[in-house]
Amino acid sequence: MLAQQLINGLAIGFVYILVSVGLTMVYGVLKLLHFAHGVIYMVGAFSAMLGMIYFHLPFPLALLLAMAVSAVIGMGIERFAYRPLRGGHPITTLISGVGVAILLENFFQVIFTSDTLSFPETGIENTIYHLTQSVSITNYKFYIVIAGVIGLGLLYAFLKFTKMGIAIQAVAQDMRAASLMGVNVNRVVSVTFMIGSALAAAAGVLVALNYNSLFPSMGSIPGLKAFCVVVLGGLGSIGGTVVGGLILGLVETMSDGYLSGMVIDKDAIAFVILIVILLIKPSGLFGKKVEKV
Amino acid sequence: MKKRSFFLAGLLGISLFVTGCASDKSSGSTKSKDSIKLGWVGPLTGPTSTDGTLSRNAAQLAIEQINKEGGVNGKKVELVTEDDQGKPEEALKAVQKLINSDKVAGIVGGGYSGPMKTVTPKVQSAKVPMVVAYAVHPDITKGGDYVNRVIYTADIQGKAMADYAVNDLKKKNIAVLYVDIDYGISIYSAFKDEAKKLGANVVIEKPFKMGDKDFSSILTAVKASKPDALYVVGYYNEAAGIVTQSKELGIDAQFLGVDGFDSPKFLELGKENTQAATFTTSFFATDTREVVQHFVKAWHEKYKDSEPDMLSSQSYDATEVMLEAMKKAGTDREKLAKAISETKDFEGTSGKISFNAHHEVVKPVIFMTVKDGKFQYVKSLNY
Repeated sequence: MLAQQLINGLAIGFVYILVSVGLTMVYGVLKLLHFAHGVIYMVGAFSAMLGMIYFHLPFPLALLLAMAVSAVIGMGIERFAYRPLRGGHPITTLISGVGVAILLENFFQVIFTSDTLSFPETGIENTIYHLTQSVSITNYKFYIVIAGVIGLGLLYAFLKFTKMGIAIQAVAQDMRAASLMGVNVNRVVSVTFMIGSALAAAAGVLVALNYNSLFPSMGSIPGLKAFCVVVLGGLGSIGGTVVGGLILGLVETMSDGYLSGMVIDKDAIAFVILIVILLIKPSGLFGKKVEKV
Repeated sequence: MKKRSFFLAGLLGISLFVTGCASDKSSGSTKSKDSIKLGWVGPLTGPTSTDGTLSRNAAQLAIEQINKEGGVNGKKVELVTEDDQGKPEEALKAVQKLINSDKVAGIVGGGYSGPMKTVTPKVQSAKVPMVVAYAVHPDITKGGDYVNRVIYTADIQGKAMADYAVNDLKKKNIAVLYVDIDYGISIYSAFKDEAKKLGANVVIEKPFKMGDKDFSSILTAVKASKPDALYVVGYYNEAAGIVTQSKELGIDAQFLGVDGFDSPKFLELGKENTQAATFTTSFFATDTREVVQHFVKAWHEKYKDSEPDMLSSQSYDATEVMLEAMKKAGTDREKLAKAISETKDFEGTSGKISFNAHHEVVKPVIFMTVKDGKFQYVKSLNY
């Protein structure tokens, strides 16, 4: 049972990682809490569904389409909701993000209603691999883990070995100094939103496939949990986010599986962890220094 | 910079507008003196709007049918609908409006337990007759003689399933998962008491939340307790997730459920994993009784793309019970409430309806099962 719970936790953890990486990158570059990130996750899932229903795309292409659409929307949000306010009070930008999130969520609710929809047939059978007699994993969950590993690997290579990746790191360290050195800050910020949104979309599509359900408010809880993961790991630290995501996934699974009659429920655990971290180590597990936000 | 902020303000404005729209969709009905006003309250916007809309459509259908036949004692009936957004505070406002400004003769309660539980004390004190369609919380009918309900309480459903599981299916070790709201807790506790009385064990009991998607961790715990039946007290969204994920984990227990399963969405989301799931409900569209077939036909004529389900049947019956009583007693509120309570063996779409001394309905519980992606009738029994 423990081994099975570890696998369950790992799969959930990787979903959190995929969603949170974008958030932490945005924070690293702009020092901005990007409240519309959870909505991007939802947009991704819906784009994949529409791609499959209307363009009859096979699943992998639909996934890529979803990532592309979300990347564009993520960049659009930055361009029209955040950039005009850059340099202003952080709260203004934050509220702008909340506004975009409400707008998009309601927009999708008007079009698709608030009902849960089923994910279209992908042609990929949901198969179960029995690792031992009592431990099994489905191929969908396996895809989530694989997508997480591939996404993180590509991201690492991109940040380490490409010019743009190094520019992103430079802007994260000091935006003004980077721009004085000739780095095009606006482009760097756009690329950051593009990558973060694409990863969140991938998570959204795989979750919709795994649970065979998608609905307009599906992004709100994962979006909030991503904040907890990011704060837990340390704002702006990608490595910390990975660890934070895994910790949250495992803690949630374990508490749900072994404890009963708890005062708080599963979804609240993330926020309890958040409060504890803020009290004990406000910079997070791997955060470098305390930022005064 | 200024232009940008205007654009932004515009965006925010639109988003507020979109959410704001949600709140004022109450129907602007024309006021005529010769008609009888009947109020309806339930969720027309928000996350539970699908159910509310079905309920309203059903009430509307009942009213149209009676108006076609000449109305109640020569007067046309007019439905005044108010949106509660699935929220208790909104429901209270809506009911106050129905009572004070629309001065309705009676109210059909087309909302969930939470909102209905909040408004009934107000309805009782204002002495307005009300028939609750599908909210199951025990408190709803308490505190006066003006509120009746046409759905059986949580107790009856829990007991009925316990009896079926233990006596008919001979299950001994039952796992229970219940949604952590009034609906889930009240049905599950009635089930547990009855199952124990009949000699079965509840081997594991775990709550889950509305909107949960991942059940792998609680189901892994369920699997470890080796149940021969799994009773899920919840609605179709979560139930579909639970059936699917329990198959993925290799749980082969008999799947049992409640009327929250009774929706085509359950079959759509759970696909082939729903096979053999058996649940209690109050209505099935393939019932051969004339009143049901008449209702199903009229529903299909009026609402082309939707199927009549348990919710619409309940709401239709609630409205019919109200109209039937009105035919006998007129619109005097006290007499009307009395006439509703005295309803006896009324042939409703969800069975023969009578009320007991506690204003609760007495009618059969229906057992349905899923076979090859379709709901199939098993049996029905009065409990």
